[in-house]
Amino acid sequence: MDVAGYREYVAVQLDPLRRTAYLLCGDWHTADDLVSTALIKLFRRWKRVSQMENIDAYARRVLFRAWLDERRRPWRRERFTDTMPEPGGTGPVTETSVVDRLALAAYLAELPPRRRAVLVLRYFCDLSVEDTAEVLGCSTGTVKSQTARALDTLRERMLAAVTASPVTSRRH
Amino acid sequence: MEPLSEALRQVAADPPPTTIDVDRIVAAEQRRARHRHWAAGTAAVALAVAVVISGGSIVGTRALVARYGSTVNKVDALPTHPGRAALNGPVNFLVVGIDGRNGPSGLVRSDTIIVVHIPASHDRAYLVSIPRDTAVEIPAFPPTGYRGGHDKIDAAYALGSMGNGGRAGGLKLLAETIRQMSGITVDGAAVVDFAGFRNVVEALGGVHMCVDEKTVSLHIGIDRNGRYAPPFTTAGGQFTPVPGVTPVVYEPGCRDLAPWQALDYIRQRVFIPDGDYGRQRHQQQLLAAIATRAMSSGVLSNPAKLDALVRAAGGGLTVDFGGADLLDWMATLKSVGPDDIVMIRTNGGHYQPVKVDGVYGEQLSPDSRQLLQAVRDDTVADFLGRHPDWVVEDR
Repeated sequence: MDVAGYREYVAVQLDPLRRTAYLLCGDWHTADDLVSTALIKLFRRWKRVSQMENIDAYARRVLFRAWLDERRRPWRRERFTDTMPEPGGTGPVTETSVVDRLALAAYLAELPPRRRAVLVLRYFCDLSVEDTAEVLGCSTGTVKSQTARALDTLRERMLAAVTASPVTSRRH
Repeated sequence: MEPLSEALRQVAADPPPTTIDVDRIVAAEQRRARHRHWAAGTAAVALAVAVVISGGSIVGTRALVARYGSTVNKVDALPTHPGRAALNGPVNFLVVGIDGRNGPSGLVRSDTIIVVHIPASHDRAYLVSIPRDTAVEIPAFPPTGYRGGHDKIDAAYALGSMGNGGRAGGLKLLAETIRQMSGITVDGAAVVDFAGFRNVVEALGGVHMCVDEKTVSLHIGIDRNGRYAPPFTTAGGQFTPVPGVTPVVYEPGCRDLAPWQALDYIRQRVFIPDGDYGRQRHQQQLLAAIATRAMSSGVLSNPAKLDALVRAAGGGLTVDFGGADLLDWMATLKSVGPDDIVMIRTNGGHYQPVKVDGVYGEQLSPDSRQLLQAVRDDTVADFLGRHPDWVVEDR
């Protein structure tokens, strides 16, 4: 097996994979765990993977599934609280302005996994609808509808943040 | 939606230093790959010894030698020792069984390592197994860029055969590792893979063996429809029975085994009480059984059958006669018969776990070290006089 080739690939892709993982899970420690898991799986199949036309797509698929697996672990399940974990954005937010980083990360975290993955793959990894569908293992139609719904949700959350009191978080 | 792209990029803008150590992942995965079921191929070994030992009865078969020379791979990996070419005095022949399958890491492990020691009297052949998990110091090996270190002995062959090292490289590093650990000089060697071994047992039409402990097969079972099926799944180191599949069981007793039975029996390690030691013993027993069958069934007196046997070994067998040639070895072994093969239990058959530099392995007991010294000094008969229970009685 071409171990040198594997190292070379990982050297180049480690950073992008970590960022993608972070956007999926919202926590750098978990991101490193996910990437490690993905790298191990990649290594075990490297002989075949290295022959693939689009290694990146395969790597992202492995990463995405590692994240889904991780989310299913009992200690990752959602907990109910009576307060919102993060205050919303503080300034006037519109679609065209650069959104506050923390706020956006918080909104992303509220999205269900596939919708979040759709946004990350299409807008961070710059994948086409087709490539996104391949990574997620779904149809292009699903990618489009999930994207639309994810964007709707984000938009709503941002507007809600603007209309809410800028200082204190609102109780639900 | 350009702004979203930009925003996402900012969200993931400054990653903290990573905790991912790619070197560690690679090293751990290579180790894991090595430890998978190499068991299988290992036993292969036997054939080489059979060819060499049975060679004793076929001196003068020039045609065979010619055939042999053109089908079996020969390498010159072992250091030559001036004056040893004639094979006077005690000689050691190293038999290495490999699993021909490449693991995910591309490494080929030597699952079976047997030193065949011929004392100066040239009237015996002692089979000494070196447990594959024995923790050793492996010397540096520049041809493959290996820098030396602690590992299990089965890594020596793998590290020497990496890249372009091939069987010659594997043999060279393994022989050197054995020399450094025990002082034993290897005069000749053979590497056999599982396929080569299976072909020989099939060419012999099976072997007569005495099963010495009830052995449940991890690998071969029979389902409800009478078809062969794997009886167990191995996930996460657990062996889970497959419903509806009955594993093949080898009950104690002497009988003729079909080739597939013999090969399956000697690869079993998990479900026998003495684990790898039981397997080492079974492998030695099969070696002896092959030699016996080859000598007694007329194969050696029938040129056509003999020819088929040698061709069966063919590409699966690689030999190194260390500067001597096949006829020298035949001459050396001509008075060794089937009953002169003595099988020895290393470590008295007991597991000796140890952890060195983070590598789990096992160590040789002080007695086993003495055994290796006895091989080096050609005093094995004396050693066995002191340790009669180390001799395997079942044939």
